Amino acid sequence: MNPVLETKLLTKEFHTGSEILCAVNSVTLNVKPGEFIAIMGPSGSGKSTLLHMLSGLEKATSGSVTICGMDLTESNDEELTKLRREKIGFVFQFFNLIPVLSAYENVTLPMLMAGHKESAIRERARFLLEQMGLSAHLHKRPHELSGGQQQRVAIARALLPTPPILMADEPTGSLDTKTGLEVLRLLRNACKAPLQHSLVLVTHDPKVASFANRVLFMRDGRIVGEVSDMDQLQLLDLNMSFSAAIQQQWEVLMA
Amino acid sequence: MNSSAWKLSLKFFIAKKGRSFFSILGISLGILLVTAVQIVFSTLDYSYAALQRQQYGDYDVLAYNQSVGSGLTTQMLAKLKNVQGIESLQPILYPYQGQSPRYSTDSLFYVGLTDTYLSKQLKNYEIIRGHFPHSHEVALSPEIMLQHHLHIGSAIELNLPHKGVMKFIITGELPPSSQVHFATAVFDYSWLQKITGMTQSTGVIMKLNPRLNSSEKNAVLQTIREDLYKMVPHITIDTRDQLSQQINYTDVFLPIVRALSITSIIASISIVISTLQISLQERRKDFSTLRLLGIKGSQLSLLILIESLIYGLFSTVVGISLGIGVSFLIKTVSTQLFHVSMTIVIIQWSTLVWIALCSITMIILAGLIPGLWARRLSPIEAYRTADPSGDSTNGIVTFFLAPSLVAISVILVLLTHILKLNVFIYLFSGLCFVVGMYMWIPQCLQSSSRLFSWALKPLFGSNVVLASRNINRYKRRSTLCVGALMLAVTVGMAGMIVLNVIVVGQTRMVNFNYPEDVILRAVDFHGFSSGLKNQVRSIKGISTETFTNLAGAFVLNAPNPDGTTPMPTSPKGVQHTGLGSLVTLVGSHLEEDKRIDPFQIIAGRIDSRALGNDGVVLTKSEADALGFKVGDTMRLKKGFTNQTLTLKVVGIIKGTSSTFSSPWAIVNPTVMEHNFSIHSLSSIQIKITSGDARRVIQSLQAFLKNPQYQDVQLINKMKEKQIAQQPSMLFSIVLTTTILTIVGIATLGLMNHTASSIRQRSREFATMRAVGTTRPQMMRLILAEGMMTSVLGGILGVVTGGGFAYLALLSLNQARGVSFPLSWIYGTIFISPILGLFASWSTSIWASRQDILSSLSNY
Repeated sequence: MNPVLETKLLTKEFHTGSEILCAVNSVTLNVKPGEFIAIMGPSGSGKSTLLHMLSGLEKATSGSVTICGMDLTESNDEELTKLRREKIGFVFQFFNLIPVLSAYENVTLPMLMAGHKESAIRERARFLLEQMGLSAHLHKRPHELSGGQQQRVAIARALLPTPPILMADEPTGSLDTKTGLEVLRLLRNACKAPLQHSLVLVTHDPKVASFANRVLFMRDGRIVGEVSDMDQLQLLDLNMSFSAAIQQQWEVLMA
Repeated sequence: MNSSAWKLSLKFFIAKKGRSFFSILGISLGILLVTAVQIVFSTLDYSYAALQRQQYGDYDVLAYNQSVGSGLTTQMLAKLKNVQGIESLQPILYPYQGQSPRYSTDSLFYVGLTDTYLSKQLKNYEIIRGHFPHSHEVALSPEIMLQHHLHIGSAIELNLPHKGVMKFIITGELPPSSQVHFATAVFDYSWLQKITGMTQSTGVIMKLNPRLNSSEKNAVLQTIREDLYKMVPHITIDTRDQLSQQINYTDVFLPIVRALSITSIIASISIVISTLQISLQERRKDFSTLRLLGIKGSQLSLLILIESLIYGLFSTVVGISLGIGVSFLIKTVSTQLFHVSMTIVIIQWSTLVWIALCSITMIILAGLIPGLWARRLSPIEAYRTADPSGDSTNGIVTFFLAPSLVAISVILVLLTHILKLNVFIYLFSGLCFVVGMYMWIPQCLQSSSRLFSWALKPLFGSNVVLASRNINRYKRRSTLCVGALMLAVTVGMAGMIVLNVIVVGQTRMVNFNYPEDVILRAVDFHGFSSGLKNQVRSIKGISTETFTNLAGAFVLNAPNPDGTTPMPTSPKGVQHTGLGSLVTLVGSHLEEDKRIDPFQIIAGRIDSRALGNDGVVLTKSEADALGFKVGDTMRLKKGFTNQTLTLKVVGIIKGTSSTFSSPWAIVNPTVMEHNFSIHSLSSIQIKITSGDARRVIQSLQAFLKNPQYQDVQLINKMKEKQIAQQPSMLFSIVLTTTILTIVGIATLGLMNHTASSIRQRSREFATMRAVGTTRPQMMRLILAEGMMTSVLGGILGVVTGGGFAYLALLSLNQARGVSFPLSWIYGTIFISPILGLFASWSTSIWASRQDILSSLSNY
């Protein structure tokens, strides 16, 4: 199965005066369809910069990023815009909903602006919002919804164009534990068949990361560790659950 | 895409009702101003054209033949009537034109007119009382009727050359004649033609089609001129060019007011830009999220442009509607309070459509700037959660370009002054100065805020220091605040200076033409008793100047005798004959005259003691014409007698009014009594200094009922004076309205900028509250910011406006005697901080009352 997302020796350097800061250093990874990857790391480890480069928002200093066969480092702004519109769904920590629009309008707006007719997307938008448990809140504005509801609207918005990959930056960062878990379940469900969205999620919460199939640990711009739920046998040998393994790695990383 | 973009823009627009309302109000004010100015000037043009027609007659051509023997035949008149563009024409008969000696014992000027609307437009011959004369009937000037104690219905015998004396019934009264001894008798045209046996008319009056535009009108006038010269080679043709110039006086004011209203539109547009910028700032995250979700930069620009279109549509409708309303208000105020003649409000709908289209286009274009910023917005902004750390301005502009422009302006002014270069360079330097000063705002902000914080810290503590730092941290935003007020003050300052110059010039002109409000004038050479003077002086609230009857004398020793030396000025009124130069002597008390009719003493002394019984004061024109200086002795021959008189020139004066600009030799009235036996007065000129004009007129009329003064005519100049004063008065009203509107726009702009600046920093303020800053301290901090920026805006505006206005006036050669409106300067310096406080007051209350937690969590 071809990877949805692939990076090769991806590097990002920032120049601060005479110093060069390497925010992301030679990162190579790939994400398969339906795979849920969590990127963990302390503040300043480069995980957000990596996410931005994976979304085509930051230009790489060197290396390459390919999404669905399209090399982002070679693409112009128009191509990147089209890519974000069609191939990537975004979920943010602070939801980033348009305050003047209702839940339904927030979900449909990007597709409408992209030139789709409302009649063509109405049913799917309603279906997604229903799936998110928001059928009673279609016409409510963001400020009339709870944090969890707002994030579910944002997920529905991200899923509407059926993008192959979702990028989530601390999606539960501003939610309480229970609501956060609900949101994570929804995201994980999106990665399962038949939807099979891939998901790259940035977090510093091991519990959140434990929902992923694979967790990458970053420090000083490099991927310094990886735990995958595919390593079940190894974990059994160690008498350790997947989440415990993540927790252990995280503690090592933060030490 | 389009419908969703519209929907989204509309939702953004509605979401911020308060800001949208104030923005629309601000933009509407600009459009209101342009609309009102356009309507008011159209109305004025119409009203003044109507007034001029009413006052000077509604006709376009008056042609008359001054020589005997040739005139316009019936065929010629018929041919003229067929000229395309002539709406109507009527013949005029001056039966004894050019004939000498005098044709009547009473020096009457005979005119034959038809009883038609067009003939009645000759205002000197308009029947103001009674009816139009038919056969054996006549209408007369009031002077003749007064002189001979006649009235309508009386019979009068008039001498018609070649016909002898004939008896006529007076059926009408004409207006007072413009000159004392130039009375008129109007007859029916056909009857006069028949009685005098004249087959040709000696004049013709024409009215052109009013729908002709100016070039068509000129073409028709040219045809008429050519035809008339072919018909009667020496005919005199008056195409009323002078009157056309008078009607177009608004051409002088309109460009100034138009320039100001365009400035107001620019100010309004800056509101559009800043409003959209603020809106963009507030929705930065929304827009970057949209970008992240795949919306193109151009689509975001479109959203901004649609929003600006919404602003444009609303503002245009509101602005034009209010503009029409304000025009009616100006008309009512002008008519009722200032007695400016405005009959009906003229609304040219095509112009309003143009204003609407231009306004909407300009507002959309104004949306391009924030639209382009939106286009450049990075999608990565969607992830940002930190507060903006501040903004900055372009260092090259502030530190290099701005001082360079100001320096260039100063150098150009000096060079132009020293090398006497083209005066238009002053205007160019003025523009450089204005642009340079605007570019210099950030630097001035930095220096002044530091100065303020240093100076005010002992009084207001750390608030001022923090406010000063905030001003510098958000320099671009602060620059916008300062710029908004600076623009208003600049326009106001420049406008007030120009207004001063124009009003002073207009007042001088009106005072020159109308030094007095009322004239009591003798209808004939005999004059009237000086007893009237004492009676008139008993009326309170007036000043008077009296003139004795005039006497003619021949100067026997003029340094510039007839024809030997070229005269420096036109010796109007000085007639050179073989007997010497004829001068007009008049007796008057110059010290009294000076109160009503100020004159400038060019040389010598002007008082009764200096004049004595042998002193004479010459008007400058007379002194120049005759060549006399102070101290010279004038030897005069009293008229056609052999008696001589010697007078010493004690002073030379230059009149600021038409009276003392006349070529006169002024002596004590006693000189007139002793040498010419003149005891009577020719006129008393009255100026109403205080009190009720109507009461004064009534008192004067009461005096004139005395049979002793039946030969005295009362001429009320107030109406004419009022009309002459109207342009400057109206200009003042329009300019003041313009300035107030611009100040209103600036205040709204200032409020807008301040509110946006504070909202942008709401988290910062919440943090300050969280760490212990009290609400009053918060308010003081915000108010200090508002006040500091507005004070700077006021000061810079005064400097910029003053400098620009002075240079602009230099370029128009009008800067001599320019006075800076000190009251406006003091007012600005006093009001600027208040405006700043006003603009930031509501925002400071809002900021101090914000919920700390929700503001802190507001990303």
